[in-house]
Amino acid sequence: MRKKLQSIFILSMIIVLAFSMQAFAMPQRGMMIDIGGIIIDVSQIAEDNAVNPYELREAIEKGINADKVSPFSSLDTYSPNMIASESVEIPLIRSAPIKVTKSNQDSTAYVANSGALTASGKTPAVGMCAMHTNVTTKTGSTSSSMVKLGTVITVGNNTITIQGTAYPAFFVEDRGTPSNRTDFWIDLYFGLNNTANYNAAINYGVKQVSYYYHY
Amino acid sequence: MTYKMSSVIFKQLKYNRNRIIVILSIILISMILVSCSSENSIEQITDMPVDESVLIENTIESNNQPIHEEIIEVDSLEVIVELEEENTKNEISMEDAINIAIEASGGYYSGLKLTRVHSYDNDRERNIESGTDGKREWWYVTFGNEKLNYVIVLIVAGEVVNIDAFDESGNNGLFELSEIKMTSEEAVRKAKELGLRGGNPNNEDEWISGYNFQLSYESLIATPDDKKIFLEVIGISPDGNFARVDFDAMTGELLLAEEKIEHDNGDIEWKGFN
Repeated sequence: MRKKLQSIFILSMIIVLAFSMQAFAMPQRGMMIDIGGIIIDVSQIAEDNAVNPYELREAIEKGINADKVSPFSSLDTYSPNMIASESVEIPLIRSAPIKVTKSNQDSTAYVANSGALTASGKTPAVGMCAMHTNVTTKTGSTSSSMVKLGTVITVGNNTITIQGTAYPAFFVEDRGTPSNRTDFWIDLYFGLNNTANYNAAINYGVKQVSYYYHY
Repeated sequence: MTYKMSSVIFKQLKYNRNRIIVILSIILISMILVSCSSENSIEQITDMPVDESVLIENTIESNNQPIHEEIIEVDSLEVIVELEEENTKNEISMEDAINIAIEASGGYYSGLKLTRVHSYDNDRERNIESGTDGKREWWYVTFGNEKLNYVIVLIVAGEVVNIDAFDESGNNGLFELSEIKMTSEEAVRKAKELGLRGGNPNNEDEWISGYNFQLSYESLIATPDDKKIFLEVIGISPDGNFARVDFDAMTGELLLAEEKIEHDNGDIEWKGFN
C-alpha cells in the first residue's frame, strides 16, 4: 500500500510538472505594446508613475478608440507624493484679484478625437486644460473646487512642453470628474488622438505641478 | 515485459525517492523564475496609422523641490476692507479692455498682436444681467507674436491688475483689433434676439453669471481647417441649457447658436436652438 502511495505521489508530480511546462510555454501577455509602430514599455511607465501596470495597460487599450482619453486620470498612484497645498495672496484693495497658488497638484494629459468638444463647447486646442469641480477627491474632501468660466492658470517658468512648444499658461475650458487625483487636478490637452499625441500623453504620465490663478 | 519494466522503475524510484523529489522541485522553481522574466513578446495592439510627425518627448521643467506653503487666514481681509474705500462695480466693453491691454503690454515684446480676449466670470457680485450691454468687470487679453512671445493681461474694473509675460508660448492664431468689425455690445444684442439669456449665478448647473464673451481664432467642426475670428457670446438657451452664439468677428455673420444637452446616460449633445 505504501509503495502504491509513493508511486502515485511521484507520478502526480510528473503530471503537474508536465502541465506547468506547457503553461509556461504559452505566449505571455507582455507589457511591451506597439501602438501604431511606437513601442511602449508599460511596465516602465507604470513604475515611473507609481501606478499598477495592468490597470495602465487596460486604460491604454481602452483609450485607443475613445472620443476623449486621459490614460492616467482614473489610475490610483501608490507612491507618497509631495503634499498638495494652497496659498492665497490677499490684496489690500478689495476689488483687486486674489492670487491663489495650488502646489503639487496632479497633472495628466489627454487627447481627443476630431469633433469632440470641451464642456464649454470649444473644439479643444493645445493651450486648453480641464479642471475637475465639486467632486469627492482622494483626500475625502468635497471642497468646492468650482472653477469659474474663463479661468487662466499659469505654471509660469515651469512650462509644459506640448508638441515641441512650451506653454506657461492654460485656459480652463473643460471640466472632468476623475477620482484618485489631488483636489485641483488639471488635465492638459495634448492634441488630436493620433499615434504621436497619444503616445506623448501616455509618456507624460502623472506629474505634480504648481500653478496659480486669480480669483 | 511491461510489468517487469514498471517494477524496475518503481524499485529505482523507491531507492532514489528523495533525490528525485529534490530534482523535480528545482525544475519547478526554475520554471516559475523563467515565467517572471522581463523578456516579453511585443504584442501588436492596433493598426493605428503611423503619421509622419516625429514623436516629440514632452517634458516638464521643474526644480523638483517640494513646495509647501501655509494657508493664510482670511480674517485679516475684513480688517483691511474696513480701512479702504469700497470700489463700485466698473464694467467695460471688450473693445475698451483691448485698448487698455494694448497700452499696458507695449513695453514687453515687439510685434505683439491679439490672440485671445475673453471675459472672466469672476465678478464679486454675480448677476444674471452682467454683460447684457456687452460689458464685464473682468477681462483677460492675451497677446502673441511670430516669435512665440506671450503676454497675458488681466483687467478688473478698468484697471490692469496683473501682467504675465513669457518668452515662449504657443498660440491659436494672431489678429489685430482693426480686423474686428463687431462689438461685444452688438454681439450680445443679436444673441439675445435669438433667445439667449444670462446665466443665473444662483443656479450652479448653469456654471456662469450673466453673459460672457470670447474672441479668438476657432473653426466649425464641419470645416476644421477654415479658421475664423469667432466672437462668442456665452449664456443660457431658452430651454435653460448652457449655450453659445458665435459670430464671425470680421463680418458679423452668425456662425452658430448651440445649446448643450446633457442626457441621463452621461452623453453630451450640442444642437442648434434657434
